[in-house]
Amino acid sequence: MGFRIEMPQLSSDGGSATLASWLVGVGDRVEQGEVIAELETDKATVELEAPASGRIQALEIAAGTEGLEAGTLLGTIDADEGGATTTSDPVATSSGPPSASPSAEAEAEAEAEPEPSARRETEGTVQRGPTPLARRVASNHGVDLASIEGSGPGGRVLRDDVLRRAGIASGSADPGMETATSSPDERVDAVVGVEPEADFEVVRLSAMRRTIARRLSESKREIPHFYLRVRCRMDALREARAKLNRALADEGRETKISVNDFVVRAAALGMRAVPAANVRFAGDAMHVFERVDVAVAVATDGGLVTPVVRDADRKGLAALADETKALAERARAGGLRPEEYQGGSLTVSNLGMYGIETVYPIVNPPQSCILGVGAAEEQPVVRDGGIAIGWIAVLTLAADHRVIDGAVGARLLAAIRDRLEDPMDMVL
Amino acid sequence: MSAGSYDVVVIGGGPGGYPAAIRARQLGLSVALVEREHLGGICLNWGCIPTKALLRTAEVHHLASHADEYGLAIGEVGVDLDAIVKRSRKISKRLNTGVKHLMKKNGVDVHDGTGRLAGPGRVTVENAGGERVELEARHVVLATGARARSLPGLEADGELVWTYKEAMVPKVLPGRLLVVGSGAIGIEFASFYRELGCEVTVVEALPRILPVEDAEISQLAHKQFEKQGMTIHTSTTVSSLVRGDDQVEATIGPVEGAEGEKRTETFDRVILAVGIVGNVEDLGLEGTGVEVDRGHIVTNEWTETGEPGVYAIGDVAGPPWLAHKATHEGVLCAERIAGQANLHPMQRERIPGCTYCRPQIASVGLTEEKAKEAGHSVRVGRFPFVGNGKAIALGETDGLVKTIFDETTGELLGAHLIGAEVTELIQGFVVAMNLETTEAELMQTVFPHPTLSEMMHESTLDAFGRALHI
Repeated sequence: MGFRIEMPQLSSDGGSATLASWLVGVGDRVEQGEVIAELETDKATVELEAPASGRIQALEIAAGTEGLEAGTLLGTIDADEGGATTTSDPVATSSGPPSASPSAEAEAEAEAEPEPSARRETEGTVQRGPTPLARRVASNHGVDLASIEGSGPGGRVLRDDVLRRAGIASGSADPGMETATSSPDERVDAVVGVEPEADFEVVRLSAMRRTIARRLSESKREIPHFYLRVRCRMDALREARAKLNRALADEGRETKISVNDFVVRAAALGMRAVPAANVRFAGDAMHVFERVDVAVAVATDGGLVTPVVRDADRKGLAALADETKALAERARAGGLRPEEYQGGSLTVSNLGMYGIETVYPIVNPPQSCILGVGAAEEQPVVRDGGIAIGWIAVLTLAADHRVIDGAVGARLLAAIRDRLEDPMDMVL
Repeated sequence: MSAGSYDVVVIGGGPGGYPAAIRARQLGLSVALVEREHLGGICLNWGCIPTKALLRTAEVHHLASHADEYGLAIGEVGVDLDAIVKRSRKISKRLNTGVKHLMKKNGVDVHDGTGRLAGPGRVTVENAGGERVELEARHVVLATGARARSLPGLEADGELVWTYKEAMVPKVLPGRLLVVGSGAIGIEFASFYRELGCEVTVVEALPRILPVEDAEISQLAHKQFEKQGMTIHTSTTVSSLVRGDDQVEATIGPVEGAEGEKRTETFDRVILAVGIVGNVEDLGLEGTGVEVDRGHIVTNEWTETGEPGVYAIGDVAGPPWLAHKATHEGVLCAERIAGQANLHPMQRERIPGCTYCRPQIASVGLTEEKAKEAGHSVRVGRFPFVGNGKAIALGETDGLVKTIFDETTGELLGAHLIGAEVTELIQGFVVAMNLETTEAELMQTVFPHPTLSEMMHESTLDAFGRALHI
């Protein structure tokens, strides 16, 4: 009995994904739930599980194929007699996400139930997918379809939209693969006949890299950033952290709380104390959030990823530490689920471990705030009318001035600083 | 004195003007339509529709004459020319009445007479009796159409030398007929008269007939027409027509550089089909920003002329001279005036064309030659009618479905069809093009069996070396 292996819906915005690799071959025996392929969205690598137990009958899509939409047939499984243990009806399986047994499905559904914020974001923008020809041309030219605003009915991306992005006049023949790897700059060179200055290798951007490029360009271009900078005394925090970690070790727990965990908690509590900063710009409106979710910037080999700690203001330091660590590990392994990196009230970007003094981050859309954290270092400080040595870290807040004014930003940053300087409240 | 004030005044009630009027009304604008002759324009009264009625007669005649091939004994098939013309006229009348009802139903005020621009925001309408009224118009849409072109020395007289108009209402069948020009109009009349038994000679100045079609299609059509007994001279012109009592002496010779001798031949009638020119005269364009170039009003992609508030659509705005192009422009124009969001200019390379001769011809997109000129590396698919079960059952085994794809992107660049019913098939390709399908989607599409449409599938498959039935 042939079970369809279909591309699952990976993100709420209906974006497409790349089939990064097959982990099985035709004829291989697989168990339901076994990971059989890796899918790469613009934000993360997702594992695809076998929808049924049996033998791989056919793999329809080659590894490396981009622009796959939800529902695309990826392959088929010749399932064991009696069907896939939990699903007796192959038709039902074919229409649902392939990865899930009923119970897991229900769970996934509960998880995927969009939070109010997410729902508001997507409301009224039912976008139609790009045309087949647009997809083909985009793939030929390495153009990221998600970055193109479609001019067709319902925002559909058309051939000419892709050609425009690729810098090719419509109506002329599509030069196709020859230019597929050339950058716009190269093309300009070709036109004016200028030799490139030095030899270079052309490395195609990964979907993630392209997304980072697009989103941060948009952010820096669209969002009027302003920056606030504050020096923060870290002596008390260092002391508290050492004590806490000793206590945890005494309890035999593996949890270790980092300075960053304190910052995440301080940022969350600061946001709770200054709700005027927990907002997002939305055209003619502003979205005001109740929940405080804090994203943590994680450097991975593929690029920057920002997994989100939900309800960060309601989690204790130890819980925060465990969760952040797990998220970061999964981010580095490329295994984040979409709901684990979407949304968020603000991002914490900590480069202190490199000894960086001041970080000037770019707001991470759709958020409105980002907190840059520098290294805690011993510095001369004025204490009781004299110069003493203290631990100082520089915090920087970048904010979207369209919805957050300087005073609100200052209150938020001050609230974060206060909590870091007097961490006892946070420990509780 | 003003006889009314409107958001939009449309001058010309043809297949461009009346849909523009309807669409403008749908969008809540007040609309007047000025028509000097018949609602429905040339298309409906003297073009597309009545010729299709005549050509249907030719088709039935052809089938009846070949009834024995289908196992039927009909005997000699007679021709009642009067009844044929009457049927054609009746169909036009019926549709003309239909347009009148549409105008009424949609609340479009129809003014009979000749419309002219009379200064910014004003249009005068002069009726047949010479009475004038003035209309106030925020926007004026010029949809005045076109008429047959005449060349020096080749003027129509309506008696012996016809344009399409006289050719549509013959009183007698000419024994020998000369058709000058082998575009869609010339070829359709040639086909009609040949089927009814006239000796038909077609003269074309260019090296091949149906010059806008793909060269391969032109050649197949040429062969078919000659097989039917037509005489065709390409790279040939008619330099003069001397009228006698009931005959015309035509001087026919090769174009410069071509081989052949100049000679005179005698014909009973001549049909001039050497293109058309826009009706740009007497529209009050003088002193306005409306620009006329080679007999047509110049417009941008939104149908706007150089004069603010004045638009031009359809034949008067230039080729292709096709009713469906006019209609599309009319709708676009109305939506533009109404300030609709997300409008798209018409994509000219996706306008199909149909010629209703026997065999029929239909095409959309680039010809093979044009595709190569534009720099595409192409894959060409061909599927002959003789390989299609339905075509064989119909007794229509002459024909070809040719498809042209871009090798790199799989884009359907053009489709060129000749054979029975292809004018009804072409739309499948037109929809595919507009949805921007590649060869993959066409290949994945299930085509019903047995139909002629299967050839569209096979032609696509053939372009990629996968045809099943050849």
